[in-house]
This record gives sequence, structure tokens and C-alpha cells, in this order.
Amino acid sequence: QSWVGVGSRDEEPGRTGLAHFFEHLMFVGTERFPPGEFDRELEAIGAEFNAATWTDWTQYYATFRSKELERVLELEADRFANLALGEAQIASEREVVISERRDRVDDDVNGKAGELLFRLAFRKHGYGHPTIGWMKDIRRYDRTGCRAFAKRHYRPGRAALVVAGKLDAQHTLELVQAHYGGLTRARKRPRLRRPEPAQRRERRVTTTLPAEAEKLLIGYKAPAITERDWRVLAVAGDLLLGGRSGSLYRELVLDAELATSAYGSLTPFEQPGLYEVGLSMRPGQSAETALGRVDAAMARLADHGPSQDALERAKARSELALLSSAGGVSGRAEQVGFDVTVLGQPLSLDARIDAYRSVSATDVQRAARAYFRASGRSVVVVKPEPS
Amino acid sequence: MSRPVEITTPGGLSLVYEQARALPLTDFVLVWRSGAVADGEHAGATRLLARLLRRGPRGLTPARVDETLSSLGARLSIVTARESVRVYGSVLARNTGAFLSLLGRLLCEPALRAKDLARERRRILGELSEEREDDGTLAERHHRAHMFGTHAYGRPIGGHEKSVRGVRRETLQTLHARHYRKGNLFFGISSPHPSAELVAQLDDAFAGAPSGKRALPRLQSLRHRPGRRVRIVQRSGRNQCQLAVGTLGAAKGDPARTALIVGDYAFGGLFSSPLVQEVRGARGWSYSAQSVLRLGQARESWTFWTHPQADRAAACAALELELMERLVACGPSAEDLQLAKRYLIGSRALDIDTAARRTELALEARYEGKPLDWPHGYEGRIRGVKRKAIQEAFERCIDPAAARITAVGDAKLLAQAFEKLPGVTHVEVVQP
Repeated sequence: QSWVGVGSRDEEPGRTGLAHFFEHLMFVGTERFPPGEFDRELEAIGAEFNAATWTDWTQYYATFRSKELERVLELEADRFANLALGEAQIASEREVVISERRDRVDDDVNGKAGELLFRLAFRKHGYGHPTIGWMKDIRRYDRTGCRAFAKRHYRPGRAALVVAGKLDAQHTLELVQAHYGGLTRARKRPRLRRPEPAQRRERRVTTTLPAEAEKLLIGYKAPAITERDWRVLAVAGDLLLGGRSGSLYRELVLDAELATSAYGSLTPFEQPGLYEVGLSMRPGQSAETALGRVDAAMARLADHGPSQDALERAKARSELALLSSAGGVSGRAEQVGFDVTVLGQPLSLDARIDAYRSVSATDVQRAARAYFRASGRSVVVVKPEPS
Repeated sequence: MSRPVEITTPGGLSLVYEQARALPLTDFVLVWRSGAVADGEHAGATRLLARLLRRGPRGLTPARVDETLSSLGARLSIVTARESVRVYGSVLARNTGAFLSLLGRLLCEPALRAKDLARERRRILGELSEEREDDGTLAERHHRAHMFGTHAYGRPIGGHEKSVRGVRRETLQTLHARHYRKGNLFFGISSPHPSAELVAQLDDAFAGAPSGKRALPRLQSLRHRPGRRVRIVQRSGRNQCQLAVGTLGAAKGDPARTALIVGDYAFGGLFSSPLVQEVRGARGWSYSAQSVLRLGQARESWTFWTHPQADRAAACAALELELMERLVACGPSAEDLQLAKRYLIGSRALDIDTAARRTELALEARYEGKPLDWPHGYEGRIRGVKRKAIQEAFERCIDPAAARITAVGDAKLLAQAFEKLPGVTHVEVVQP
């Protein structure tokens, strides 16, 4: 896997979505491997491969038989150094990304509501614009802009190569040196900094979309993943919305039957992000009523903390999730790539599990008080269009 | 690399097992011979039953079930497919025995409480309403109905509002009694625990399952009906449309099954395959483009999925039909075939890289009545496929002149252009 420390938060206004667009361009070819050849070469060895971009990083992955490592390194190193950006490929890929945006956002109620939430929560920081970019910006991508982007961000100091599997470490390092050794060390440029001013009042937007029932999205300002509080808040969120035994999930979906589905999600961002709560209401049920229940549940957690039983259950769920993600070789590589890119160093599985085990009921209560505050949240209420 | 073994337990259960020492985790899968085809006139009943099993046995409330699973560090999902119900679980290895014991109670002694049925019914009705928001889900649902009509394959797995409202507690009790039998249960476990320990725990947990087995209803195989028919599912205000172009396909038991699978990959299963190259690579018409070959007990379907802009949708469908005709007439190119075979053989390593995956593959083979080592012959079967065999299989199974086209989008922007597509005999507009 190749991880590059560039994501949508690094994009300037007017050039949003460029990190994601460039990820697409990384597949268009080089002088040595003309358009289509990269895909064909990897498919011919049976590799599963693709890429992903988010706020802080761009990831390219390939999973394949160990004996094919040298061929993959050759292809990967070549595209990092010699990407050929033709106008025709840029024009065609632009259409593909427009189609992707329409599919995932413009014609998708949940995609649109999510985009609104982040725009509302982050007024200055790059987390406020969508990773796929605004449509008007996507339409303007050109070769000059793409080249400038690559020159600035695709540099050895910003990238990490992760190789995981049944391999001889020394031989692997020799292969990496042989294929990447020609790259020149480049000065590590600082990333764009646009700190988000502190939020002091609730922000709320009500919008009408082609939904069948109301929806409620809430984003509470949350710590960066590099802070200890991130794990504490992850446990707090799990106590509320971590599956069917989460207290808030049970209340809203199973007992009071207000919502069809409910989720809680803490952004794994390098800088302060959001704890996001999303509810799809049952037909005829109001998001406003659900918001009252959310407030009450969070107040209970902040006032009384969790019971020891509930806390132990949340920790057991976290342990299971961590072990499950470490089952396959690609999951392990992904964890290392993420850690190196976002946290600065890889963490062992045991250290990760211990970090969750060390969270106490007092920690959870303190985090709930600090982060689940109405003054630090943004709220999107979606009302169905009149039929 | 170790391999799964098959064990018939003293209690008469069929288990595929592989010891997995890499992590302190037990993975569990149960393939249960049941599924939406068993619904009969009560579409959605099997899924409703699966939901109710999760709500607990007699003497245990739904909340207690969820809390117990959480405290064990366990995850459990019960998924209803068309021709099976699959129970997936993972648990911290130290709690395997307690997990199996709870699972046995959930499946063997379901309470099927009237109160829980009413709650799940209301929840499913809410979900069915929410599904109408998602154009991809709408396309899938309508395309199946368009292709299969009143056949069991045309019914949605989750049912529809009327059918779900009509399911009674007795319907679910009958379904459970009919299909929940030892001979219908195929267990797969990968775990650090030795097999003897697991066998004893499994027998103890599932002692209450009645013996015997019950086949799924025999399904009639449909024939192509000539003429290309278009169904537009009206969604106003859409920028693009979800497009499905397909025909009836083949059954699992088709002698050319492997040739069809390889042909499908060569046509639309890879980034380099012609469908993706023509629709996405050369024209940029759709972010995703892929062909999906489904194989069932009876003849299933072959469908191409794309989502072009509304004003290009008919042109995209025309292009896909042309590609389909070419494949049926000539088979894949030698180059496309070679690539698909190399991909399928090479990527097999990723299907068998954990004990849990190997176990599930072996279990799948047993469920289909094939020998346990059936997965080991995979490479030879793929290697042996010839271009001519693919062309003949597609010519026999696929009829481009009888294609069914389903488009979810704004009929005002779509209908006229679809009427002009070659061979189209009928265009209808339906509400979601």
C-alpha cells in the first residue's frame, strides 16, 4: 500500500476535490505503461487493487500473491515518478468524477445531508468541504492545476510504502531500494493550516430533500485522533450508539420506535473533527422529538457516567472489532499505513487494545461533559419534499 | 497451509472446521437451507423470521440477548438470501462456548412473541419506505420484478408493504418448523479451540434442533420472452439514472457454469474488461460499470449495472446491448479471456488467506452438495475453459433480443430516447 499525506483538507477554495481527482489520475498511465496497462498488469497477476481519498490522506492498495511483489513495486514506483497527464485522460476522468459525485451526493439524500453537516460545522478548516469536491470546482480541473498539485504534494517525505505478508524483510528492502532508490529526497513542505475557530453556539439548518421521512444529523466537535480523548469519546459513542446494545440506539430504534436506523461515528481525523450522530426517522416521526431524546441520553451520560457493566461491554466490542480488522493481510497493512500517515508511528494490536481497556467510567463521564455540548454542535434536519 | 476438515458430530450435525491460531478469535458461519424462495405467498416472511430469531428465545428479552452478545465480545448477524439463510458470528475465543450456547437457544427455541412480531413488522415497513430514497436499491428491486415477474426470483427478499403486513405468527412458526432441521444446517467454525471441544459445545447447544431435512421448493425455470422491454421507475429531479440491462441467465447446475463465470469476468468483471472500458474508460459515462452473473437453483440472471447522466442513458443502454450481442455472437476476445483467467487464478490466493475464508468456501461446497475439496479444483476448472465453450454457453443462455432494461430516473428525460432503441417493443413508466 502507498499512503500519501494529502487529502481534501489540503485543498484551497476553488480547487476542492483535487486530491480525490488526482487519485483517479494515478491510474491513467505512464510513458512505460500506457493508459490501461497499469490495470491490465495488476489484473493479470490476480491483484485486488484500488484507491481511496479522505480528508487527511490518499491511499493506494494492492493485495496479491507474495511472489508478485517485485512486479507490483515496479508498477507502483513508476507511476509515482512518471505519471503521464494527457488532456484526453483528464477530460474523460473528469466526466467519471462528475458521475461519481452525482451518484454519491447529488442524487443521494444521505450523501447530501452529510455534505451539509460538514459545511455547517467547519467554516474555515478544510474539513468543511467534501472530499469529492464541489461540482463547479470539478468542472474546472485542468492539466496545469493537476501537475502543480502533484509537484506540491506527491513527494517522498509525504508518502509511506507499506508491505505486509509472508516476505523476507531484507530482500523486500532491497527490492524497494531498487525501484524507489532513484527518487530524490525533497524538503517536506508544511501542510496548509486553517484552524477552525472555536464554536460557541449551536448551528442548525433545516432543509427539504426527496426523502421518505425526516432525518437528523448532529455533529459534535470532537478531538483529533492523536489525542487520548479520542479513544475515550469513541467508547462514549459506542455506549450510546454502538450497535443494538447501545443505550440510545435501543431507545430510538427498538423501544420508542422513533427511528428506522441510527448510527454514531467518530471521525478518525488528524485534526479536531466530529462525533456524528445520524438518524433516519420512521415515517411520521419528527426529528425534533428525537433530538430531545438524544439530548437527554447525552445528559445522562455526562451526569452519571456509564455503569461498569455497560463499559465492559463497550470494551469487549472494541476488542472484537480490533481483532477482526487484523485478520487479513490487507487489514494489517491498512492499519500500519494509517498509523504512520496520521499518527506518525505504527501501533501494535496489543497497544491498541490496551488503550481501550484503560478507559474508565470517570473518563467517559468527563468526555461526555466536554464534547456532547449543544453549544459545540451543528444540526441538520432533513424534511421530506411535499409529494 | 492447513485445510478445513468435515466432521459429522455425534449429535448428527454437519460441521466444517479449521483450527485458526493466528488470533484469539472464533469465526462462525451457519448456512441454513431456507431463504426467500420458501416464502410462498408471504413475501418477506423468511426475513421477518430471521429478525425475530435475533429477538430471543423464551425466557430472554431482546435487550438481554444484545447485552449478552456484547459482554461476550461477540457479533451476530442473520442474513436472509434468496436460497439460504446465513448466520455469521465472531466472538472472542475465550467466550466461544457461551456464544454457541446462546446461539443454540436463539435458533432452537425462538419465542416468536406477538409483541416482537408487531415491532419488527413496523420496523421493516419503515425500512421499506426508506428504501424508496435510494435509487440503486429501487433499480435492483424493480429490475428483478421486471425480469422475473411473479416467479419467486421476482419477489423482493424483504417483501413489500402488503405482504409484510399479512405475515402472521403462525406463518413464521410453520416456516421455522418446516426448515429448521438438523439436515438443513451446515456449520462452519474456525477457531483456536480444538475440534473435540467445539463439537461437544455445538452438540450441546443445538441438541434441540429437530432431525430430518427439508428441500427448498422446486422452482420453475423461465424462458426468454422475445422483444426488448423497458421499465422506467419515475424519479423526478434526478441528474442521472440507475440503469440495469439484463437477460435471463443460467442455473447453478448448468454444465457450462465455469465457462459462464469466466465469460462474465472477461466481459464486465475487471477494470480492463470491455464493458468498463467502453462505458467508463472511453466515454466517462458512468463512474461504475459492471456485469453481474447470478446463478440459482433455477435459471437466474445476467445484468449490467451503470449510472449514466439522463441524456446519455439510452445511448449507454444501446452500447451495452451491442456489446452483449457481440459477446453472444463471437465470445470474448482471446486477450480478454486470457486476462480473466489469469485474474481468477491469481486472485484465488486472496479467497483462501485466512482460516475463516477457507472454512466458508468449503462450507459453500458442502451446501451445494459438492465434495469438501471442491475448492481445490478451482484453478484446473478455470484453466480448462475454452473461448468456444464461453461463446456457446452465452449463445445458449443469453438472448439479447429479449433484454429487460430498467431505468430509475426522470421519465420525461428518458422515455422518448428509450422508445427509439433497436428492438424495443414496450416502454412502461411505473412509480417507485
